Amino acid sequence: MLWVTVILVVEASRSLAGVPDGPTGASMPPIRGTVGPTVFGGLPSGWAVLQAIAARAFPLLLILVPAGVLSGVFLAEQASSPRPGARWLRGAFHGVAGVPGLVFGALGGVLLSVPAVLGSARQGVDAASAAAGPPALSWVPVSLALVSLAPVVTASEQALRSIPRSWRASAIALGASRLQVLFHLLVPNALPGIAGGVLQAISRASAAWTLLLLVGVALTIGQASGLDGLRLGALDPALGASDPSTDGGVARRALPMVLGFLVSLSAISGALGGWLRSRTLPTPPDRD
Amino acid sequence: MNAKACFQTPARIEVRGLSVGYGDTQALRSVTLTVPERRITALIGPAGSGKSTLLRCLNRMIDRVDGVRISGECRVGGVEIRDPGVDVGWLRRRVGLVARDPGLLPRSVFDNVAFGARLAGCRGTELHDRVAAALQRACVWSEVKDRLGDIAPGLPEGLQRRLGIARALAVDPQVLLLDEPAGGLDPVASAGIEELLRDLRRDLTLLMVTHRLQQAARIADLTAFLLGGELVEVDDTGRLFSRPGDPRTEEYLTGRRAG
Repeated sequence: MLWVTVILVVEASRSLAGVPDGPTGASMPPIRGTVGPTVFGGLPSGWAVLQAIAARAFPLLLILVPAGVLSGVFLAEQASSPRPGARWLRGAFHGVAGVPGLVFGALGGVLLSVPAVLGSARQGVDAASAAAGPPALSWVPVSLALVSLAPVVTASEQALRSIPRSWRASAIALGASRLQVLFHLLVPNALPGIAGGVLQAISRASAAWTLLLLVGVALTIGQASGLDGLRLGALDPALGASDPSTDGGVARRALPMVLGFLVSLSAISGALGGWLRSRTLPTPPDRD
Repeated sequence: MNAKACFQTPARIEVRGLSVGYGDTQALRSVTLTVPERRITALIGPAGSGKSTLLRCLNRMIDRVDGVRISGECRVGGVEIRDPGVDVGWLRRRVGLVARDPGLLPRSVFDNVAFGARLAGCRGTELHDRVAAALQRACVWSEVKDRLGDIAPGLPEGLQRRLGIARALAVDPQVLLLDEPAGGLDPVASAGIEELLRDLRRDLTLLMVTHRLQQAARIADLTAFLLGGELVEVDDTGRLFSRPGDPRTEEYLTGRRAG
C-alpha cells in the first residue's frame, strides 16, 4: 500500500510539474491545463504542492483537534444530563457528522470556490494572476475545518462515553479529581477513538477538497471562454475527466495526488490506531 | 479541627441519624451505627436495603449522584466528613472503597496498583516501594511479582479482586470499605479474600457488604442487618446469628424473609 502511495504521489507530482519553477506573477506563463496554481496559489513544483498540503493541514489540525476534543469532552462529561441545550448541540453535531463529505464539497464549491474564481473570471484576470495570490483556493481547506469538526466531536464523545463507568468510579474512589480523571484516565483511554475521529475528519476534508480541486480546474480552464467552464460535469470526476471542454486530462492528473493522500491517510490511520491500542492494551504474554 | 491529624490511626466510624434519598426513593432512614477500628464489620440485608448506599456515604462517592439528599452525621476518625473544609480527594484516599467490580484498567498490574499513588504525587523509587508493599499487604506479591507487566484484566477473577484491594492499599487508607469483596467468586478464591481481610484487620477499620451470610459469620466481628433503609440490628456476629434480637433479623437469617 505504501509503495502504491509513493507511486501515486510521484506520478501526481510529475503531472503537476507542468507548473514552471522560477518567477511567479506577471512574468509567469499562463497555467492552462495545470492544477497546482489554481488550488495552492502558484507554487513552483509538485513537491511544493505536497509541502503546501502539510503546511495547510497543520493549522487545520491546530483548530480541529483541540476544538473537537474539548467539545467532545463537554458533551460527554458536562452535558450528560438531559438539558435541552446539550441535547440540541449533540443532535446538531451528529446531524452534521452524518452529512457526506460530498455534500460539503459541493456546498464549499458553490459557496466558497465558485464566487472566488468566478469573480476573477469576470474581471478578466487570467490564471497567472490567480497563481500569484488571491483568488487562489488555498483558504478553502481552512474553512473545511469547520465542517470537519463534527466527526472529531462525535468520535471524541463516543470514545469517552465508551469507557466503562467502573474505571471512572474506581479512579474517583482513589481520590482523583475531575481533571485527573479526565487527563489520567479518560483521554488516554479514549485516544484511539479520538485519533480515529481526527483522521476521519482529515479524510473527509480531503474528499471534499477533491471536488473543490476539480471545480477549480474546470473554472480555470473555463476562463478562456467566459463561464462555459462552470458546468455540473466538472463536479463529477468521471464527467470532468471526459468532458472535452474541461480538459479531462487535468482532472485525471489531479486525482492521483488526492487519491495518494487519502491512501496515505488510511495507512497512517491503521498504523496509528494499532500503535495507540498497543500502548493502552498490550497483548498479555503467552503463559503456556 | 485539623482533619488530617485525626486520621493518623485506624479510624472509628460513627454514623448518627443518617438519612439518604434520591428522588422518591428513601435509601437510608435515620441510620445510627458505630464501626470500631481494627475490626471487620459486615453489613447484611436483602437487595435494596441501603448497604451500598451507606458505604458510598462514608467516602462521599454518594456526592456524584444527581439530586441526592443527605442528612445526619458521618464521622470518621472524629471528623465530620461532610464538613466543607474536608478535602474530598484526601478523604477518599484515607477511606478506600473497593467495589465488587474492581474496575481494573487495561494496563499492567504495576500501573493499576500504582494508579492512585501516582495521582497522589508519588513517583520513582517511592512509587515502586509503595506498589510492592501494597501487593505484599494484599497477599498477592508472590503471585504477581514476576508478572507486574501483565495486563491486569486478563488475570483470574479472584486475583483481580485482590489487586483491587492492593490498589486501594497503595494510597495508605485507614478505613477500607468493601462492597461484596468475594461476590461471584468460587470457594477457593473467596477463601483467599477472607484470609486477606483477616490480615488487614490488624491495622485497618474494615466495613464490608456481603450477601453471603456464612462469610459474614466466618470473618466479621460485628454484623449489622439493614432492611428497607433501616438499621434493624447490630451486634456481635456470633450473638446476632445465634440469638437475633429482632424477629425481622431472625426471619432473614432463616430464609423466611426475602426482602
